[in-house]
Amino acid sequence: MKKMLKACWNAFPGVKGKLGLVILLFFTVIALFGTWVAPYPKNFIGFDSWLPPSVSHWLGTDSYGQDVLSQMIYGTRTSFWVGILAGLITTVIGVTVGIVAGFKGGWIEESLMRIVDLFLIIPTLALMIILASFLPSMGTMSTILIIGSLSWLYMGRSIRSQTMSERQSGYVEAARMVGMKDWEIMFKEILPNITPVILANLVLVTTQAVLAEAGLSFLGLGDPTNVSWGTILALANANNAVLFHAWWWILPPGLAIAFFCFGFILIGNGILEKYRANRGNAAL
Amino acid sequence: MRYNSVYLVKRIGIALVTLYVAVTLNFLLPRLMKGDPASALASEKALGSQEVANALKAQFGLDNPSLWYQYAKYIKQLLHGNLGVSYANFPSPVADVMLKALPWTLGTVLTATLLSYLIGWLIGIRGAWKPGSLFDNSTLFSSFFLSSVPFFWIAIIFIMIFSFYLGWFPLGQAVDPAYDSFAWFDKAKSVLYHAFLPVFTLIIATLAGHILVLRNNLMRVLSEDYMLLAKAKGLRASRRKYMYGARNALLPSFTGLMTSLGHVIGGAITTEIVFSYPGVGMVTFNAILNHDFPLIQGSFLCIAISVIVCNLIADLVYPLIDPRVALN
Amino acid sequence: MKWGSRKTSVMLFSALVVLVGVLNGCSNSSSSSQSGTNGQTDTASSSKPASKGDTVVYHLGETVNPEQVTNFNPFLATGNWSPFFDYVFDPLYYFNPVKGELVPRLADSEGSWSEDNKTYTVKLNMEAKWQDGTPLTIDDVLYSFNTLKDYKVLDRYQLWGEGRLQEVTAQGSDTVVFKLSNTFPSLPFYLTTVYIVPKHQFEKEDPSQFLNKQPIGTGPFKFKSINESAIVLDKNADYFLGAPNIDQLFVDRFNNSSTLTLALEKGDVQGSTGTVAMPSVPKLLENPVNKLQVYPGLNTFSVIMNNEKPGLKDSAVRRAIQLAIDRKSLIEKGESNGVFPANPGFLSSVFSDMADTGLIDNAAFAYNVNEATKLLESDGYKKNSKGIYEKDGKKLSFTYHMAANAPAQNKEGAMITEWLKNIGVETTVKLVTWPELTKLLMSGDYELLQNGLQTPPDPQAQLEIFHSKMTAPTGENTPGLNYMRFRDPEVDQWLDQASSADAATRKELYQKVQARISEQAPVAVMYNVGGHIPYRTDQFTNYNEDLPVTSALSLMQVKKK
Repeated sequence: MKKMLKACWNAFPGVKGKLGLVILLFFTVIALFGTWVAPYPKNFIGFDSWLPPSVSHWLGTDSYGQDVLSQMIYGTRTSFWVGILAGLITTVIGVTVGIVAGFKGGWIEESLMRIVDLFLIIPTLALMIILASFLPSMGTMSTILIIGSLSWLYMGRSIRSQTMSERQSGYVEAARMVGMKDWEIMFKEILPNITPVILANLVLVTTQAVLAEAGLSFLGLGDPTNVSWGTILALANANNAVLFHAWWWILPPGLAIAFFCFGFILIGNGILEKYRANRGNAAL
Repeated sequence: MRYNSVYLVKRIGIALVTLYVAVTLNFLLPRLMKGDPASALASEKALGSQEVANALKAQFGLDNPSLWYQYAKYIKQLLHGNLGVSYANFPSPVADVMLKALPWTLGTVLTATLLSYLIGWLIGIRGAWKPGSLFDNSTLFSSFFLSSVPFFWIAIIFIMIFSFYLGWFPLGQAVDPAYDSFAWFDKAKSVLYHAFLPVFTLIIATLAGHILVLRNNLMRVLSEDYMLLAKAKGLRASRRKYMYGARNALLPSFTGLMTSLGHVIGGAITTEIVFSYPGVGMVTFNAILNHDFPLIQGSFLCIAISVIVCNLIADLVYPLIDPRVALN
Repeated sequence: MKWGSRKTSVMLFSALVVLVGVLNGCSNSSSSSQSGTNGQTDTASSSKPASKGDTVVYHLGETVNPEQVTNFNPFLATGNWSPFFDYVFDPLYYFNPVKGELVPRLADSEGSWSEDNKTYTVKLNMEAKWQDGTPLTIDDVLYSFNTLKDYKVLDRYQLWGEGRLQEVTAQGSDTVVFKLSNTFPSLPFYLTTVYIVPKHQFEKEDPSQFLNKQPIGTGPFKFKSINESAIVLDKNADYFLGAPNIDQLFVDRFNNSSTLTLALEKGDVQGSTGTVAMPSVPKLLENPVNKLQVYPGLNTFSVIMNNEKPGLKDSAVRRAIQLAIDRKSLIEKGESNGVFPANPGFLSSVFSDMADTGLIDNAAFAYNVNEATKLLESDGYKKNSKGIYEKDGKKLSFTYHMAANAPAQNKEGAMITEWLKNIGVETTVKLVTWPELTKLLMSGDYELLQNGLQTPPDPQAQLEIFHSKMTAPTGENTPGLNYMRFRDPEVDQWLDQASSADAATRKELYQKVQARISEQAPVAVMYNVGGHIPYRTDQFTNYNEDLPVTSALSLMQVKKK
């Protein structure tokens, strides 16, 4: 057991990677056990409005008389799952498109990359709004689907170029000689070899998903019945927390988003640095 | 000439096809949204009167519901350089609305993009030159952190501190309300003064990415043989740093710069909202919320053209400035 | 931030200057093309900058988006910011929402009805003059009304609709005669919606397309110029109701109410015509120079229900939904007490002589979870294992639509859906754009929908949103505002009688309608939004609080302290 933990710990390279792991563990614990940690129930509006931080309300209350700390804790769960799940969806699409395009080449690559180019031209936000009107409800699941299905474009490009350089490698040639099928080479041979790149990308798209959720909520397109860091920030802005000097309502959601993403980026960077060191400055 | 006419024709051809497909998508996408702009206007402004709704539909050219008919009309108009008439701003032409918003977005987002690249490169070069130094580590760490911060949040914090508490900058808007009666010099001052915080926010928000990219590129270049050779030849450090290292490291981020420039018009919706800035981002967002089809089409078209043109420039110029790129 | 060196920052600065120079060039060219005809006034102001210190400037803050300043044509529904017309133009009568009564503007006095109540005669104030110096004539008035007849698309309030205007003619040189095809006692209220335009300017154009970039009105303020941050108006020294005391009126443009509210608190602007971030109000009022004028209005925020949908067909369910909404909390927590409790009988307390305001505080319609569940149970609903009420296997589970891009509204929606859960009613929330919301209302393709219901300044029109002639079956577009698909033959009959009855009978009939509406609960009302006008009293004084304080008639009296 101890050994396993140690192995896990060492899997996160460098000081930065380890710091990232600690930050993420902190948020994971809050996301998973938040319901027990939060001092007050979700969306409870019974307190006085605009109370500054005190012993009973560590982060004060907002204009509706909600305890900000409790809202932050419930919000962690939303942002956490949006990040993880949308990040995963993005990665699955991005990796599939990238590997297929990079490996197959020819017209398949050309058409896939043209589609990517085309989607990059149309403002993502517009696509998100249009997509939202086709989903049965604007719940957190919809947010995840929308973000996940529209954020894979840059990742697809990055995986494609990585796959293209892998295609030249000896082991791919060898696999061909043995007569492996294309999909076997793609997903059994190339995929494991570019795992660090995928992981680094995964970390990046997760960060972007968390930021995208915050942006959507800020523009008033998030799930209003749920709490997320983005909705807290949107309400703080719409209800003019600045005027009340209510820094306790504005600062925490922004900082939470920043630190959460910071944790991911540190880990991603650690993985990339290790990968580069192993491969001698591979182009990414 | 490092590339032949086949390459040139192919690139331009691809750009034109992309443009056509984008134009068609611009037509279809807004129409996928449910809800009809004429009835919505009639309900908001005319007590839901069907008569007014039908009259508005006729004015908007929506009385013929056939998509093919509307599409043909749209393409025909475009070929005549006519972007149509906005619904939400009826009867103002889309071109007028766009032309009013464009300078503000171009001014701020373009300035911010260029400055952000410049500063990012300078910091990246200095960091990569002495990796592991205090400067390198601190910029690296702050870059990671900055790229994790939502930029509308930075904008709110800046307004709170610099505009509301300290009163150094305006709360928003693009010019002083009395702008019309100013002499040209005061006009320029007013524009600069109002653009400062939005530009500053955009720089802060995008800087980190550029620092990281350039630092990585330069680290790779520095390990190349020709850098060792230059050192062996006894060239001065500053010459090696900028003429040899930085120049080669900048090349790959040229494409990145062109892509960013292409997206300038798409703008920064959230930043414009927080700063009450009258740019294209605001116009596009409002147009989408209002189902203003012609305005959405116009704004998407501007974005598409700028992205496609910038990509084309990148494709055409890159082989000229980087002799190592093999042409295929 | 720490940049590399001094050299860097010098480079940065020069780059910024160059780029913004480019920007300024662009924006100059675009604004000069637009203000080309305005050259005269521009040079006039720049030639005497010394007098600028003496000019008394009043800054009004408003959320005026770019799409709201593309024309200044009062006939058009789009592309303009409607309060602008109150300052620059005049209607015959102005509807004063504070008192719920009409104030003569271009009319000399209250008009008079003929014996058969089918002719209304209005004498004009012939001292009025257009801002270009031409005197107002009766032809201008006839032209303004006849244009609505000639261009259906401009007749937004259906003045020429069935049973209404038949003919508008002149009697002598100073009296207008409105001839009706049927009795229509609300006509004077409808006259407030028409601004009189100069025939000599409009007749050369197509009034349904005219952008009117250089508006000429008869109003107390003259249009001077417009830029990205403000609409600039000069006082009309020749205004026939007296020259304004302030020299210039700036309408400072913001694109969101929070920034506008910050500007108010800082003193950058002196007031707004009604835009303010509601939760900021308590903080604003901590400063004794800030005041807030509140009065009820014509917009009733409600949970609109499609009365044809299963479950919502049942008046018991609708009543229960009304009882589940804690209106007091909504008004206190969501709107900082800046709005009015809505009347469950729907008629706004603006019409104080007609509205049955007793219904507002009537305990039978107040927030009461026990009463709500009792209602459901006595109607045969039983709670299922998940705590949701159901009858005959059909559970009370509804979609709940709201407008996107309105976080504070959505928060109130979240509060309401939570309360509905408390009485065992399940909801699925959906956010849609505004045009889609309207489409859903019109076609009836919704169950619960949170939105405002806005009506013209007329009690009859406000109650007629429950008339069956204003509705259509689900799936068909409604011809009017009865999105609820509410049908009650008696309500129809009372309203038809009221439309041509004298004041006392009307009042009696309206009481009956309101009582029926509150019992049947075709909509669940939230609160009534009228005016909540913030204004500062540190530099200016003499606001007229019997009118909206920042309306044209009050602002012309406002003085610098």
